[in-house]
Amino acid sequence: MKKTNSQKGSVMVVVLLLMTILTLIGLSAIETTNIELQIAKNDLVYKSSLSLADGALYPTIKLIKDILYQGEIVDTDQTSDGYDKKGKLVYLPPNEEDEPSNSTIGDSEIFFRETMGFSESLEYTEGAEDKPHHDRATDLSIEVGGQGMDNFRAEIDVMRRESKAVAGGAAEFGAGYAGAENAAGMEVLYRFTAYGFYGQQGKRVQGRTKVEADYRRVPVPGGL
Amino acid sequence: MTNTNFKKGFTLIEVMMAMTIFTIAILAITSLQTGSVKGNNKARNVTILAGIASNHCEMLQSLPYIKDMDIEGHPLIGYTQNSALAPTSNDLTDTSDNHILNMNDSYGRPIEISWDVSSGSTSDGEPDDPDANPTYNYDMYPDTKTVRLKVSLLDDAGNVVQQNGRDMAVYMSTIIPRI
Repeated sequence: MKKTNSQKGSVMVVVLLLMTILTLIGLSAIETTNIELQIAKNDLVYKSSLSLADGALYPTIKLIKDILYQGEIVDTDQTSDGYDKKGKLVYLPPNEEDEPSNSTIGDSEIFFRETMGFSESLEYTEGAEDKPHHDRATDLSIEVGGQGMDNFRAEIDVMRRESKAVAGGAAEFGAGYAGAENAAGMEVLYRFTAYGFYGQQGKRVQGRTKVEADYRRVPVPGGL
Repeated sequence: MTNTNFKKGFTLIEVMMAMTIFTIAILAITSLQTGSVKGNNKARNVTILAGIASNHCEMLQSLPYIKDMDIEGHPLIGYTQNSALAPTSNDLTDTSDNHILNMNDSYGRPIEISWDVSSGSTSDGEPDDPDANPTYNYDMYPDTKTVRLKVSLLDDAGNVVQQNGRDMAVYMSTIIPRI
């Protein structure tokens, strides 16, 4: 009798073992799934923010072209006074506490001086973008809002690297030093560092992509 | 006699109890597996939709910078108002002014790409009608356009597939210059 009793208990052990194995398989499947989801979301974040960072280069080029051509501070808010600043190219302030503004005072002048080469360009420093507004030396910001895309944003740092004479061009009396349209003598080189930020409201997955580009402004009419 | 009685095997109650316990356990494990399969499916969908969205962004960027363009009867780049993606309109079903392109993914499932385009002022510096969308004007800069697109997975009835109570859709945006 004692022998048979002990045999009865082995069923319990086998069943428990089986259950444990099945549970472990299930849990590992869930874990794999979570990782798959993370991979998919990170891929989406990368693609989205890359698209933003890449796109942000173009209005920056246009702004610089306008500044060089006009030789004065350019108001980025030309098309619609008094509207929401979302979706606008705005100048970022040099001070951390200040809110981004669109034009007319301080920030646009700083950018103008950097673009023209009147004052030294601040080079972007790694890790600085985590700070609220400045110390990060990014010059411009673009917010592309909208439903389902609450925190689509791009920031651009513009750095004037050098200006030099174009071979075959005339650069008398420093004409065209700033790269203005009417003096085909000098070319100006800029380095853009663009950041695309992706993060939907209430979602954990956030990220950014960095794009670096060199812009060579040759003073001929037309083109970018 | 006592010996033979004992060899008879399990009683009905014993078998029933064992089956009940086993069923409950198996059901729990099955739900784990189901959740896993669902999650894998979602991950696959996000990957596919992100690829399509990225591809479409690139395609739009390669188009000429004009206000309207028809390929298969769909305006591709243009100025739209009351956009389905703009926050002024909470009704995502209202896509009357939105650009829509329907296609199939590599598995043959229907995909809907909807996007809106804001344009800066024209090359003459003349701004677009600011009254068109007074509360939300997202003109970026003269001669640049902002494209914001949403790629959704549709079911056979043409409705957006829901996953965990949310639209199975991804969002992307880009900026197109006049060159």
